[in-house]
Order: sequence, then C-alpha cells, then structure tokens
Amino acid sequence: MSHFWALYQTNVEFALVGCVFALSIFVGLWSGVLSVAPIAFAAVSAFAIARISTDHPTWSLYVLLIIGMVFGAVFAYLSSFIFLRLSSHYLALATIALVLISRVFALNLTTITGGMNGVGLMRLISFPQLVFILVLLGVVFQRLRKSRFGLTLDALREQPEVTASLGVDVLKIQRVAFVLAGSLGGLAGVMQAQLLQYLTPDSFYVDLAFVTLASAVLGGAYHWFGPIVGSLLYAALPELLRPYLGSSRHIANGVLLLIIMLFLQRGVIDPLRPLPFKSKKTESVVGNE
Amino acid sequence: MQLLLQQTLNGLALGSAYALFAMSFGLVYATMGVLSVAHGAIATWGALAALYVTNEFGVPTVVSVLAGVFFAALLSVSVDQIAFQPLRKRNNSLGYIITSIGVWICLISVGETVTHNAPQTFPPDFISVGKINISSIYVSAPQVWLFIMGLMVLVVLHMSITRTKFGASVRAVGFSAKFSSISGVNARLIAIWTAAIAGATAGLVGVIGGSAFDNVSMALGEGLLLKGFAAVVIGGFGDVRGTYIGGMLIGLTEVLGSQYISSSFKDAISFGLLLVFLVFRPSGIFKEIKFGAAR
Repeated sequence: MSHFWALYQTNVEFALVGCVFALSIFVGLWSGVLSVAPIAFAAVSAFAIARISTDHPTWSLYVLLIIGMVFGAVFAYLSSFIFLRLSSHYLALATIALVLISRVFALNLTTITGGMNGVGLMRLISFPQLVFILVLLGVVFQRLRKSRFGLTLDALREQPEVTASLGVDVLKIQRVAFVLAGSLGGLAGVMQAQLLQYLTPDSFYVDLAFVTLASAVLGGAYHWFGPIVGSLLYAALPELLRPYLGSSRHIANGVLLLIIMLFLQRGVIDPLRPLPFKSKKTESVVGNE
Repeated sequence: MQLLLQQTLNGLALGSAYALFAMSFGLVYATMGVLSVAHGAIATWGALAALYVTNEFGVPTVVSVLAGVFFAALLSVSVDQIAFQPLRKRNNSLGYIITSIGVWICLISVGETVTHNAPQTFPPDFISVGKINISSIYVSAPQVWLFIMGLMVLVVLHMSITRTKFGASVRAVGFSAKFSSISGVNARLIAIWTAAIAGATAGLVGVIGGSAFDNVSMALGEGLLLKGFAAVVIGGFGDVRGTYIGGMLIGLTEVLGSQYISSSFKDAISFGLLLVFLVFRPSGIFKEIKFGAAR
C-alpha cells in the first residue's frame, strides 16, 4: 500500500484538483452555458497567488484559497457582461478565445508572471486538505442540487425559453452560475498552482480546457457527481493501462471519450438512467427530485 | 523599405498557410456544423505521412506530397465516419466537440509516440523549385508554394461551391441535411466528400507548411488550428473568400506586428481580433454573405 502511495500520490492529487476544474465547467453546463472561461480565471488566480504568497509567505493556505476564489469570481463577474450577451455557440468560442488570450497576458506581464521563465511558489496544501476541499464542495453541490436555485438551473438547461416564460430572469441566473464557475475556477487554479509549485504560461492553456470539458461531459453533465467520476476515470485510465500501452497510453482517454459519447451520450453518471437495484417507479420522475 | 517588403512577403506566405487551413476547417464547419478540434492533428499527420514516405522510400517530392495529402484525406474521412456520423441523427452539438476532443487526444498521443516527442524536419531541399531571390529579398520555395496553393485552393473551392452541382449539394446539406435528402442529395456521401476535401487541404498545408517552417510536430497542427480558428471567425464561416482574407489578415498582422510592435505580443493581436469579432461581429467581416443557404 505504501508502495502504491509513493508511486501514485502525485497522480491522485492532480486527479482531485481535476475534479474541481471539472466542477467549475459543470456549473456552466448546468445553466446551459458551454464555457471554458474558468480555465482562464484559474490562470489569473494562480499567478496572483504565486505573487501574493511570495510577498507574504506567512499567509495561511485558506486565506490564499479564498483570495483565489474572489479573484476568479470578480473576473467572471466583469467578463460576464461581455460573454453572456452572446448566443450559446459564439459564447463557447469566445471563452476559448479568452483562454488563448490569457496565455498572451501570462507571457507579457513579466513582472507578475515571470513571462516565459514562469514563476515558482511554495506548496502549503496537504493531501487531507485536498480531500477536505473536495468533500466540502460535494456537500455544497448536493445542497445546491436540492435547492430552488438548482431546480432553476435544471430547468434552464432543458428549456431556456420555457423557464424565461415562467418568470425566471435567465440572464441573472446564468450570471450567478458564471460567477460561481469563475470562483471554482479560481479555487482550482490555486490548488493546481500549489501542486505544480511552478507556473508557466502554458500551465492553463487550451489543452487543459479541452481535457477538463471532456472529462466533465464524460462523467455526465447532469449531476454534480458526474464530473468527479469523469475526472477520476480520466486520470486513472492511462495509469492503469501504462504497462500495456507505454508512452501512447493517453490514447485510452481518447477512445474512452469516443465510446462514451457514441454509446452513453449523457455520460457515465446520469440521474435519469434507471438504477439497477431500484424499482422502475422512480425512473419516470424527472431529475429524481 | 526592403525590410517591409520582405516581411510583407513572409506575412503573405504565413497568411496563406493560415488561410489554407482555415478554408478546410471552415468547410467542415459550414457544411457539417462540426468544429473539429482534431483538424490540426490531421494536418500534422499529413506531414508525418509525407515525411515517412520521403525518408523510407526516397520518392520524389511530388509523390510524397501527394501521399501526405491522400493520407490526411483518408484520415479525415475515417474521423468523420467514426466520430461524427453516429451523432448526426441526434442533433447534439456538444457531442461533436467531445468526440473531436477524443479524436484529437488519440491522434496527438500516437503522433507523439511516433515522433518520440521531438520535432522532425523535412530534408533541406525537399521543396526547392520556385524560390525567389532578387537582390536581398528572399522567399523560400515552400513559402512560394504556400502562396500559390492558397490562391489555387481558394479559386477551386469557391468555383466548385458556387458554380457546380456538387457545390449546390454541399450548400444544400449545409443548410439542412434532412431537406437535401428529400430532394435527392445523398447527404452521407456529400459529408464524406467534404471531409475528404477538407482533410486533403489540411494535409497539403501540413506538408508544405511543415517544410516552410522547418517543423513537423504536433505543435505545427496546434498552431494552425488556433490561428485557423481565429481566421475562420474573423473572415466569417460563410464564404471561402472571407475565410481566405481572414487568414491573410492574421498572417500579415502577425509578421508585421512582431517586426514593428513586439514579437511576444504577436498572438495578442490575432487572438484579440478574434475576441473582438466574436463579441461585436460574430458573423465575420462579410456579414451578408451566407454559405449555408443557396443564393
């Protein structure tokens, strides 16, 4: 067991942070918005934290995490006025453009980001703290899911026009979700920075955005548990297949994505799918609410 | 003055590469509604195939370029049939993005294994016919060919889309696969042909571009993908002429911007333009031209 732990601790830690990233994209999808903007906000928070923790080495981890969330939320709020005006399709493209541009800024604001050379920082986060944060998020998401807000988001994703006609301020709800996604992105950015201990402009780029989006949808974008399962699966599969596939083991993730999307298009975790041990009566209830 | 001329020529060559890629990328998007993340990797794979044929068999350049183009077309059709065709009935645009990410991961991870994660290069005299060298102005042969091919593909694509029966079918499928089927168009066959043409064009830019930039790696395809994406948005999805101009614009601003403003900010200009266009003019420079509906 200790041997296993020595071998895979890093992978497990990155997988846990991947869950937070996937949750941040999931919040967008939940409100019917396909956006990879949280990755850009993660970059902002991560670089800000790298700078702050160098200037104030005594500040505790939780202060840094909260600062990261606030940074993410503020940037998300400000940019929501530009992005949420766009129709869904162009919104998705514009958030990809935002991620592309964030790298240009990371390259050029050399006083904060160190430019091409990157910037280092001290690791404060421990493994139990990572688990604790994720469990906390799970509790928050479960409460959200059962709340009126969660119900509104469900309705918004399925039928935005009908939801609007029921008196829901669609833009406002989407803005709240966008800011929530931004703050989660900021949180994930700080956690990722803590694990990496060294940030370059490429740390938060389109690769991460695509992979995160893919793992969120892979796990299932209709329940908060889906993105977590997706990220864990996504992180574990290549490692499990390492003995057989060697250096091209990541192909397993590509194949997995194809299979899931072609045969289980709502993802691994789908609240509407009948559970194997439950009676058939519950399945017709929409969203299992 | 000489520097300006030289850099403009460089910009036109780079712009041609972006325009070629953007035209193929935009063709897939306009007719099939798929924004394929994997398209850049297809371009790289075209270049890898050409490189393999050159190194293994020592065939003439023309043959290896054709081999690269053919391989990319084949790959593009297989990707379309495996990853996109099953989704067509479901009307699920998120699905396309995810399956194309899946294909992208597969192509990249195999490609990195094949290239041992190091950039490969074509032999130095791979494309040698056509270089221009007048006094101190120097344009390499692959750059010249990029420009020629860019113009050729533009003319051929534009003519065949607007003037031929095949083009009419492509536009009809782009407008609605269902209604075009009702009027006797084989939508699946059109999708296969479109994927083949798009893949061939991507392979072409992969081979010539890989030779022009002296770099055959997964980064080649990724660069083309990101800039081609910007070009498609700026020029508009609708019309290959707009897409071509978009690509040229990006190439020129990138080269001239890095010469006269700052080399590290060159991406800021193209991606900044991309964001501005997405927010304020999402249908591109030429708003009124639409490719989906018949005119």
